[in-house]
Amino acid sequence: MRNTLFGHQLAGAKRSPIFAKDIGIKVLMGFLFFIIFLELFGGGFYLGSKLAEESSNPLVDIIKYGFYFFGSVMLMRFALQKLPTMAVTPYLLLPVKKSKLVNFVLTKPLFNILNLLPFALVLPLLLGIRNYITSGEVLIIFATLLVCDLFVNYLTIYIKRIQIKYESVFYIFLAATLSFVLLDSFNIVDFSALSADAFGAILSNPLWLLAPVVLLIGAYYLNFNLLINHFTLEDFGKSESKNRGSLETVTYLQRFGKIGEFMLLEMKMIVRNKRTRTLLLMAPLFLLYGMFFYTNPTYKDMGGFLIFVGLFITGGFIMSFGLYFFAWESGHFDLVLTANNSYSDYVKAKYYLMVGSAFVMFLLSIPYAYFGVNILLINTVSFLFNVGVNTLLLLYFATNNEKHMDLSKGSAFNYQGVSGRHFVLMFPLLVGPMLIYAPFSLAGFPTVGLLVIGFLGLIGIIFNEKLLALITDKFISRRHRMAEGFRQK
Amino acid sequence: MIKINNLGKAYNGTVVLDIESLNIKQGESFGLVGNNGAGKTTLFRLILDLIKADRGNVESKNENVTNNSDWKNYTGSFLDEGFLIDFLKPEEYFDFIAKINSITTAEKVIMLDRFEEFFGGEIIGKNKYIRDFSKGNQKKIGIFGAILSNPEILILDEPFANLDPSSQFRLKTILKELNSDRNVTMLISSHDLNHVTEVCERIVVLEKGKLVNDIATSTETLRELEGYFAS
Repeated sequence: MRNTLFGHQLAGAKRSPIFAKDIGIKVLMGFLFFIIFLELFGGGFYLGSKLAEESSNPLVDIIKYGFYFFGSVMLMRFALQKLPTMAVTPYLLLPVKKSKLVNFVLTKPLFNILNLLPFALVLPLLLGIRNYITSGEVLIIFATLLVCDLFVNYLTIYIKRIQIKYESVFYIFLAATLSFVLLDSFNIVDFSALSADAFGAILSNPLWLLAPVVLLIGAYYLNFNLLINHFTLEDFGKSESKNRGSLETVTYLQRFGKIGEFMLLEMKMIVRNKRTRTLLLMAPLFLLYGMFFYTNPTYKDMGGFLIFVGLFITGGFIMSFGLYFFAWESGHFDLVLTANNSYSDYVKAKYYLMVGSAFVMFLLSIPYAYFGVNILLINTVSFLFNVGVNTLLLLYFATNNEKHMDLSKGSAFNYQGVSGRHFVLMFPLLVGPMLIYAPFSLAGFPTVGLLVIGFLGLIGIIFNEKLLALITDKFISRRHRMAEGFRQK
Repeated sequence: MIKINNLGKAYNGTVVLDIESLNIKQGESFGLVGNNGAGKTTLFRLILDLIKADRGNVESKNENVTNNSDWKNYTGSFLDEGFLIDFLKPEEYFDFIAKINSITTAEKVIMLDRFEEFFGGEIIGKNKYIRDFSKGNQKKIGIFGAILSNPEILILDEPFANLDPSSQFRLKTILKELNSDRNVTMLISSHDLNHVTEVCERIVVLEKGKLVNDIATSTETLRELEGYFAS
């Protein structure tokens, strides 16, 4: 039975349309993984040999970081790993035991390539300190690594799965991570000592290994229970929509006619879909960027870098949702094309939405003037550049996106419907202004450089009607292809 | 009203639509029947300029629909869930459609009254997003949205599918009234020969993208069609 199930999964993967289409991305991902492996390997070996030279007791120095290590593994898995799933409904009608199916789904993560990454770091690390450890210890370390990694794996899967239903779990997870970092950085709890104690105990008496084994079994059992109780129900596909009717009573925008209607529609879309709502909640994080960099004297005089920060503070939000434009309306794109409105109004609505949100971010960033008038000037020109140039570029390139985007599924770190091109596009948006600034700065006129950036932004703002007309033309010529792509779920 | 000239569309070399000429007069109720894959939806999408024709064109009031979007002023349509905004409540969706088409609140209320029976108390005031409604109720919402804009041309793809028998019956009455009272030109596709012969004066049969039969509805029509599809 297991083999049959496995065969079906394999056939499903081989025949997936995505596989044929995105071979380029697959190759790129494979290459990236290869590089990461090499880096981990090299890094581990370097660390190990360094420790062997400098530390009196390298093993203790390593196990001190055990908790941090597994913490980072968890975050990495949370961000990168997909939930193991299987289209289970067709099998439920067959005489197959439910528990068998659940167990099958749950063994899938054992074959994830991410499982190799921790070993890719630890193996060379141990090689580096080979003169300080016994072969018995190596065995115990590997056993511990295996068990703890699997525990983290199943725990992550459990959290990820349950947050589909209960969105708050995601924020609890975020808060827990944050409090871990805070507790540690203010030395309230000494996690390194705890870690050294815990893993030291296992090393001195391998029977302690049973503790993580019990944890692993517990995590597996949690997953098993969750799946077996919710298998037939569809309730893990759909989340309970709360915030029903948010923004329903907003009437302010209606005075702007059809443009206002479309803006309101888009705002409702952001608030009422999980994936976009997460985006909205991330927005304040962009504002906090300043807190990191302005307080650090190293960056104080690096004008070019501060422009980068300024672009992020005033434009990070529009850049993150600018990636989604047009495609995030996949679900009702046919309506957009047949509704009684002009395409130029439709495109304008998006433009004003971006301008509006950049303006709000700019207003919120004004208190940073506390760190110097220079900061205010930089943020102002960054704002102008974002509004005048970046918004239009984002809109223009968004017309190239023709992948269906599903807003109901997934939240953070979900890049379904976003193509690699987008990330390439971010590059000129962020780096362009710095390149403009650099020659002026090197010649000794940094302020002139800033003014040029601001001036470019102003030009974009002054000619926005003309430029938007260009974008609208592009949209019109691309509309059939976009619509066709958006219909392919 | 709608004129189709030498229209052709193929996907990956397979011809899905190939119509030399077809005219739909103002006020006509036009029924489109055919098996799966006959090209019904493709034809509607081409009329609504949702896909690009490989050759030929569609004219609405003598204007090519691809180059001129005046047709949006007087055309109401509902083909599939791509016409619904799933994160809105039905009321908000209707508001949006009304605003976009400059329909006043008073007109909207009158329309809602007329549809009360059709909705069967399942649509309005439910405090649910459209995505949380059943397929049948979503269809009702979409059909109402198409009619709400007070169109001169109404295009509906499979409007009777997924509806319960009472709703099917009510919808037929509504459509017949629209056609006779307001002289709305209607384009309706259906698998169900009974419904379509009841509502439409003219029936066109598509087969593998080609127009194979074009008949004015009479008492004989249903039997003729049944004979055609049974063979």
